[in-house]
Amino acid sequence: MLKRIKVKFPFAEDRAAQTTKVATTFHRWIQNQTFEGHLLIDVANYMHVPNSYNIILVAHEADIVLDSTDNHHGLAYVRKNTWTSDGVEGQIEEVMDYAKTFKTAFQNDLCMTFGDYLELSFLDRGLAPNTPENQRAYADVLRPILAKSGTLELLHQDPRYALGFRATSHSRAVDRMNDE
Amino acid sequence: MSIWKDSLKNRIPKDWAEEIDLFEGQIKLRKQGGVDEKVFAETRLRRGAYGQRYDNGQRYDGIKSQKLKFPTDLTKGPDTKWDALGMQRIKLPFGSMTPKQLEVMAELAEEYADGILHITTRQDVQLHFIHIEDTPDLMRRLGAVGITTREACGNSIRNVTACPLAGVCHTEVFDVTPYAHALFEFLLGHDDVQGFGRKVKPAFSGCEHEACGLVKMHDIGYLAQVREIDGGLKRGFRVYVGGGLGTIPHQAKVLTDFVGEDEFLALTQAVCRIYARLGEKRNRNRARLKFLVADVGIEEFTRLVNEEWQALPYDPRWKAYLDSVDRFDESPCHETDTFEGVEVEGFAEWHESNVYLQRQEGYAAVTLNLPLGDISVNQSFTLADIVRRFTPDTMRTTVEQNIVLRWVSVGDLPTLYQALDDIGLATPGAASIVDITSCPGTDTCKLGVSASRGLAGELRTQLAARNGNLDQAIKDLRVKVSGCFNSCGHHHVADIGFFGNSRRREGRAVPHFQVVLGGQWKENAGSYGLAVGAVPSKNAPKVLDALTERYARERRNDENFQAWIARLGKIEIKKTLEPYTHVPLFEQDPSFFIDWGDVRNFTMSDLGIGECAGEVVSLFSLNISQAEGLAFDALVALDEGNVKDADEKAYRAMLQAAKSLVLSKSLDVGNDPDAIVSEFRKHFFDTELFFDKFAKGKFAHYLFDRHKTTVKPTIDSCRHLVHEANLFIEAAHTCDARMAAEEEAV
Ligand code: SF4
Repeated sequence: MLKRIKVKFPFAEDRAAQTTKVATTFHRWIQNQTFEGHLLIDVANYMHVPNSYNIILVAHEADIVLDSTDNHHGLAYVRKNTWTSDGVEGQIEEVMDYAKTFKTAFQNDLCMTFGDYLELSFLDRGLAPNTPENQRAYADVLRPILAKSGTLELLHQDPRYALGFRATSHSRAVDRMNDE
Repeated sequence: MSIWKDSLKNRIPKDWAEEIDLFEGQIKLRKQGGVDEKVFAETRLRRGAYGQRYDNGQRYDGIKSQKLKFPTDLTKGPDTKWDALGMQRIKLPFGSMTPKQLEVMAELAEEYADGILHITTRQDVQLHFIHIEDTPDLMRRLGAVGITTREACGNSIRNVTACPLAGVCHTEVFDVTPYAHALFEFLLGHDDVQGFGRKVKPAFSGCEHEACGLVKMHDIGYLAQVREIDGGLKRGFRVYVGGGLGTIPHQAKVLTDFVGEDEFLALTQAVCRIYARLGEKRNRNRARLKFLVADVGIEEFTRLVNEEWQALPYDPRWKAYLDSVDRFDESPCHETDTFEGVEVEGFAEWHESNVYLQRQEGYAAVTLNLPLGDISVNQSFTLADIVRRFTPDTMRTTVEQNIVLRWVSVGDLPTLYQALDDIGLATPGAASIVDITSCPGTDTCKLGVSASRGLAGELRTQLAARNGNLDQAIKDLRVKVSGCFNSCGHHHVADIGFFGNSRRREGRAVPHFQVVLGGQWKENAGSYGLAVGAVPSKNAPKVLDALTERYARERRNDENFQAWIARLGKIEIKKTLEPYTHVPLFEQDPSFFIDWGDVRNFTMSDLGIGECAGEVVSLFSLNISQAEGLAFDALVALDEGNVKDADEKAYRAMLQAAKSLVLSKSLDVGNDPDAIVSEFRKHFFDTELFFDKFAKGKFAHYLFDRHKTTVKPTIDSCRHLVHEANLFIEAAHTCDARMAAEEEAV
């Protein structure tokens, strides 16, 4: 079982969402505890750190993040534990489902629009180190799910960075998520 | 088995690996209710796994106090939910780290924490929002690059801090690095540091007049000295004891004016023994070493230490490290060069504040002014590359929550600036008024009252915007913020310090900061500031402006801030603060009721019980819990059919249980099985102290028999032994309880 998987939806315009608004929204989500399967706990603020997670809605199961990692802004969903599915495909489907819920809520509450691609990273250097073999193997797993008709690019060749891919538009899953 | 346990097994020092396995066993055991929660709390604290705000399962959400419904009701300490996220402190002796170590910590931040590495005011790194069950793998990954988290928290010896410029500084007497390392190695896991009533913080400084080492505000401080002895020059230290900040700051007292480099470890061991023996254990508010020194007086304390020192059994490690002092010598990775007329925007300002020209001509130490001590995963990876490119592969964290790169060729400075600027790490103003220190405060600390990070961030933003226009006298001031009176943000030794408190207005809580003025950072934290009054958090930036502007206006010639404050007098200071103390009604201005960096109305209801010291758990409890962990591991090994391993662990469980008792009679027992068995026999078997009313000495024979056996274990003999180990542990518990009852009766 992979430890953590992150899905990031970059914003359509590469600018940070209004931070106070985001923090207020995250706090309101905690007050309401409306996201099924998530115990929302706290909000952490790292707006002062560039190229980083900036505002984090910390849940028991996941972190929902206003993210400027790799110097582009977006909303990220990082599943941390309480996996119900087994196997890489199952975990990917599961994380995508949850990520979609938060993306929709973010879109509705903050009127942000997202770009036509998404990024998916495996934050588990024990089971999924960023090696050439894994780059090929995980791309093969991801292609049918994310990029049947689109493209899949590796995020970082550098093995220190987590293994991750960018799935561009024309892919079934990306289009489907952006439609919703 | 965890993938890390398997893949790193040959890369972690054997004893470290065993300790982590043992800790993992205790986590499993606690989950099954097999370890008392207090004992488990102290055990995890001693491995650096700390509690964090809201871990009692309560959080004020801005409208009401919410009960956080974690999946289980299990606890990992008193009033601390198992599933609640916590903090992991990573101990970096004298703040030293290599690029590889930084990379590993960044990986851990991404995989187990919230993607941020936070540098503390004691040169540690902290990762937040971590699950307790992830900590053993995290520790293994650190262990594989030479970092231990052992005794990063808890009632023991904490991180050994030292000047980040040690070895390159103009004013140092000598490089204290090898000595700080020797102390760290010597005391790590030492039996004499296990029985403290609270933590002990050591620090080293290379010179008397600068600030870096801050020896006078530490429990034990070592100030480098050289003496002429028998016609030769001998290195050593003036040793200070009993300093500390906290609620009531104490200036350390001189224990000895000079102790040689070949004796300072022994002297420290004697101090630890005296503190373990005579320090307060029940009342944690008076349990720090500073209270013991104050209570008995420095003369008597010195006498006790010297007496203890004379009686210590000789340990070759006191001097052995002297053979390898040279291994800490650093040399540059580049030939030096010079640069001329750099036109890069921002370079000159950065160079002025962040670059220190080393004693070694042609080289510089460069400070990365980290905002609130935070650095991200991606910044860390690129920084590791930069460190490899420009330095001999080392860097140091500082007590001002920054990172220092050393041995940069001055010719490389413009290129280095550019490389740091690309990743947002070339902010000017290091060691100036914009470089504000802050403890975690209400962001993550259970004891935080006000948002120290929120205020520090706001002050930093406001001051940085006008940094270029600030008077030089203002630029040179130090500002430090703590979230409560405990002073983790070092507010007592700042020119202008703030610590969090609260007031009420019409029944509503209002976040405030107490203003502390005139502390001295130089002279190794030479004197402490005085609290002059509380102001609402909202007005704290205005108070800072009012004070600094008045100082710039009224100072006489080179009058420093402390002298100006003294001259101004309390009445005038109060007058300066007065306009900022008023709190409007909520209806008039609700922003006064919200703390910096937060959007919720302020509350005091999230305040928890701190773990700074942990519970005072007896030496016996701590050691016996390790024995229980080993017995549990033996059972697991037996289940897996691993006879040899099960036999070994059951035997070690009994040895550990015996040692738990022996420690009450002799702290010098060490880990040698023969010594443990012999001491156990002498103090507990021959005296019949260990005897059961009915079974008499039977349980002791389980240990004696296994200790002398040479027969290869079988599955049956092993099953028996595991059973016997558990009975032996039970008997140890009974014996301890009996001794405690007898002591009480006496
Ligand atoms: S000073 Fe207070 S709020 Fe800050 S870290 Fe220490 S105990 Fe927590």
